[in-house]
Amino acid sequence: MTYTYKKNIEMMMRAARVVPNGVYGHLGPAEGCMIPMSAYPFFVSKAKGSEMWDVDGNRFIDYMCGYGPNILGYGDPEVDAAAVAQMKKANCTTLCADIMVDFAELLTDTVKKDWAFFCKNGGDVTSLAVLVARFYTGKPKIVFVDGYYHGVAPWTQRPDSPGTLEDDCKNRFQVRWNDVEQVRQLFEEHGKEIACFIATPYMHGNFLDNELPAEGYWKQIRELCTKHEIILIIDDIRCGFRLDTSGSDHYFGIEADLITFCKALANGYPVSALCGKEFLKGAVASIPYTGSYWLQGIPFAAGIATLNKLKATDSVGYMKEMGERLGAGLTKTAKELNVPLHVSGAPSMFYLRIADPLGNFLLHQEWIAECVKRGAFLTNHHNHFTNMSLTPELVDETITIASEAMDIMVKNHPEIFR
Amino acid sequence: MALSERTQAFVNLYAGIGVLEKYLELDESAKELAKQHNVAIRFKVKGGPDGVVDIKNGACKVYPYEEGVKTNVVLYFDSCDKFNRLVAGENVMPIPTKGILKVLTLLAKPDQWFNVLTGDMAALMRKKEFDNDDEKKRSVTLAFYAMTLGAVVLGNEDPIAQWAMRATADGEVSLGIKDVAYSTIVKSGGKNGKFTAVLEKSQNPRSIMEFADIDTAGGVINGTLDAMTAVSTGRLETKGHMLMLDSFNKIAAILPRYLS
Repeated sequence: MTYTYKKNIEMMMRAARVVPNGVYGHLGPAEGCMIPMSAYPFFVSKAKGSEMWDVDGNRFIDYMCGYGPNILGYGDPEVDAAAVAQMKKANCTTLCADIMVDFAELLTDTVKKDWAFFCKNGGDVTSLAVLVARFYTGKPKIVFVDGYYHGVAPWTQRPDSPGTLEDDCKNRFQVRWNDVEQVRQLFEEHGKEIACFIATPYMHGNFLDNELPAEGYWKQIRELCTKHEIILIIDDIRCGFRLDTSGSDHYFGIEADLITFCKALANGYPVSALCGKEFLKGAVASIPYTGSYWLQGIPFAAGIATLNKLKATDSVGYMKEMGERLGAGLTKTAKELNVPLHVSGAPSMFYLRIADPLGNFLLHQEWIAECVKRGAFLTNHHNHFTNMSLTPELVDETITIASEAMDIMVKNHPEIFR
Repeated sequence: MALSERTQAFVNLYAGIGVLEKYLELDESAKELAKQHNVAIRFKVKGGPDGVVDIKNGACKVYPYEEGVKTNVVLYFDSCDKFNRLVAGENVMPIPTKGILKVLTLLAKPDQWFNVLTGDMAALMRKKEFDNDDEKKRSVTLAFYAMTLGAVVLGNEDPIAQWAMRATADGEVSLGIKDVAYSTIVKSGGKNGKFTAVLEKSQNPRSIMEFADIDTAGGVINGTLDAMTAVSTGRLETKGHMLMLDSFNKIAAILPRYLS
């Protein structure tokens, strides 16, 4: 028996009348690559731990975790209690809530940086990081890595993106991931123009197998940035606190000049942070940058509770263990069914892909759709996430669902899987 | 964004006039008219396209001119603007360098057969109110093929759309109106590659975009329905290598400026 989505569809029809795209952005059917649409729900009515229920009452074990924010479990009682307590004290007020200082002290101590600047979304802080780098160095250009994603601001886009101007994209270079020599050559030729090198800790782009850094990659990039007075920005918005509670730069044995956090920082409460080294504190202080809700008290309280809970146990180790358990189970099934399943990336942020001769993802999309229709919420384009509320029992249930789904996909294609 | 006269000229020739190929297949009276005139017309536009509109036995092909291709008529335009004005219906006479007498039977007056053919086709494609479902189907189908041809032209020639073309992975993008019409955009040559249009269904697609029906296709193509909403409401199915479709959509977003 597979799920049906009558109320979801009705809700989407209502939404489409009054909201662009019905649901816009990465949670929507288009950018969220819900393929085919008929396999997916669109609206959640409640969520707890690692599970969510859609408006039709269908239950899902959720491996997207809100695309990352859910790191302790939906509705974590300690985080929610801290948020409620702060709500009763002060939230969006004329003066900054005092709890910001507590959060900044805890965060800078946790990620071993000298200061923290809070905003709301990932794009707020990646944009700020670039402003800081340009202001401090007096240089204009940004170095991106192929397959990058640092938000949706014009400086991150190509000129073909609607609303972006060619001028927005002029000050940039792009290099291959894991190619130190290309970076070395670029820096030697253009180092005097380059303000910053911005990259995620490893390549976790969409529609491609995720790739960890080669041995010594980050150490060499760090040295090159220092030599050419280029600011090294680690975009830790997606990986942050899932590889290392001290930040992913430390996980890979280096120290970034600037590092950005968002998603998992407060277990779903809206706050992002740019953290940096002392020598950049004056630069960031000089930049006019603010927002109506950036100093809200509630997310700071949630962030404190989240970080304290993550640090109280081997959270990173546990999320890795759950990812490895799932990856092993899926790989075993795939091997039995002779399906070329690739599992890549960090186990706590695993990426799945069924290889096919044309590279068109159709088999993979079919398998994922069968999983979703049976209650395992996976995606076909993006890395997944584990979280602290995931249990071995839920993982095993997921393996059972995904194995059944894979078997169905295989039986649908006798021409391929003989 | 300012329109590029050069890009407009390429779109006009290879998409605007290029869709004659399908018009003659879809419209019997147009086909009968074309059957009476076997002619290969070379449009040579300074700083722009240099292509051949080859009409033979009631069928039409439009392709870039190459040395050795036989033509009956050569029309030289000393600017893209002049060519674009001709296509827009203005009274512009190109410089005929071959087939002067034939030119007079093609373009000299509005009621001459080539003008009638292209004029009727353009009117059908621009029509908003239809006499019957068949007319609507022919109109939207032609607009769909023009979209395919136009996207390919923009991807190859327009400085902004080239970003999207270069970012597109090699392989075939299949476009379609369910059970009505299909076309394929082929990307080859990697980051320095190009697009090619094939007005047939792809047999080996890497990505697929299919409108559920004529109304959806018409709405998205003429801009009254945005593609994302069509996806969200299940009227536009997309699957496969979605980054290829993302690039196509970026080009398709520019196209109405040139194909109006």
